[in-house]
Amino acid sequence: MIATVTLNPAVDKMLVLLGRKIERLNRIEVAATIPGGGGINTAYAIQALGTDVVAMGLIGGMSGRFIQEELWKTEITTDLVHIEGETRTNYIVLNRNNRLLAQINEKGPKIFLEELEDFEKRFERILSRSGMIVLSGSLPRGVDSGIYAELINKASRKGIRTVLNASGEALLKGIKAQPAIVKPDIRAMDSLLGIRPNTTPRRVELARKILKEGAQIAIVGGTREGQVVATQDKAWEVAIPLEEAVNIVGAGDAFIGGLAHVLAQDGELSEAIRVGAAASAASTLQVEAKVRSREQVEQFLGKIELKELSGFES
Amino acid sequence: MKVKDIMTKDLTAVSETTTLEEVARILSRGRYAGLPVVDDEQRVIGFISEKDLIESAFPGQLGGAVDMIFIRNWAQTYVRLSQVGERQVKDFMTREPVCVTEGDTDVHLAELMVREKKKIVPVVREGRLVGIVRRADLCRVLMEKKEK
Repeated sequence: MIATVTLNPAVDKMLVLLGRKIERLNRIEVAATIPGGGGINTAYAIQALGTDVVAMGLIGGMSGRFIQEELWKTEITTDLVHIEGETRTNYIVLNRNNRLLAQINEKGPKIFLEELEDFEKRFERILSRSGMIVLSGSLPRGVDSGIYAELINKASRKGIRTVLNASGEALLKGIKAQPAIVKPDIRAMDSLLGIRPNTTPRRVELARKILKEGAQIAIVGGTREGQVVATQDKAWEVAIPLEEAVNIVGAGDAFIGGLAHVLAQDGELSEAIRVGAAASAASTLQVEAKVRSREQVEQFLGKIELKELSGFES
Repeated sequence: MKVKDIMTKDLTAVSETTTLEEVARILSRGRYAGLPVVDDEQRVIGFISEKDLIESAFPGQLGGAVDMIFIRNWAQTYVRLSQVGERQVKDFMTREPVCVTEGDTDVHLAELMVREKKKIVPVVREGRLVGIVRRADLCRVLMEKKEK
């Protein structure tokens, strides 16, 4: 079983702008309302691919209840703490050609100590039956930026592999705890560890730096740019096929889902990258931006080309 | 129809050492009628219901009438519970609770829920919690079957 952790989930509202560009006053249509947040997006991909997954995290109010019900409809197992605050809403603005114009994310509710303690107890219990833990997304208010590092340490003590997909302080502290796999969320960052990863050589350089901190696999890139995946002695670059893309929000999370699905079954990393890229492409097919079936992923597998980057050694 | 087609895949549970105050909070926020009690490896070792909580707040005062109580005002209940809120689940839970497996039938489940007066039953696989099934889940499925 793989457990995904989403401490700051969201209800994602996909808005389609009826005008040509964003003005002072805008008319929109709500194209879809779906559960969002890094770990939740990843859980959808893992579930679609057929691996048991449990979605953990903190939810609150009507929005939180909506997320829980939607996960259950997809038969995703949940272990979610109901908090006092209301789960946030994120607004994703697309134009009529499905081009992403803007993403507006709320910060999220304040979390109280007893809510976090409840989560941590559940996390300890889930470690007894998980082969891998995916920690993903931003943190809500009231949660210390060291929490990912703390959770990684707990999992490591029990010999469980962790995947960290985060940004900012939570990412930097988490990397120090040496998760097995690191995928920095570079959307909101100009640079990480002193590197601006806007070209393939720079993405490779950043991957090297992450590996030097102790990770076994570093994944650097984006859905449009492609992903560089590196280990201590090998690196690949993979492009995500986006010819049929409708909505790329959460495609990076789906990449992790595909990758984790293969690695949790002790598959080869090269195969894991291919499935990750295919899952990423599959998640872009609908405005709902989720991997919905294994068949969707398989239809992209033949289109994925892995380019091994020569001379790589971290 | 099997339990696996009816169940809710929810692992929300508490441990023996969870306080009643914490249980009350989880029941209230999550709108649960009761919670499985699990060990460190999520094996189901007990069950604590809203009825157990009410009885803990009104020890020896309720007799057989407790089934009639529906918690409408949690604020008032919290005041009562504040006196016992620090007590632990292990002192009030039902040990060796009624559980079902994913392969059990809807008929077995219905019979169990009625006979044992259970609103919520843990679903286990090799003793470990994999979900819950609520009376509402069963009602929904029974009505769906009738429509077909």
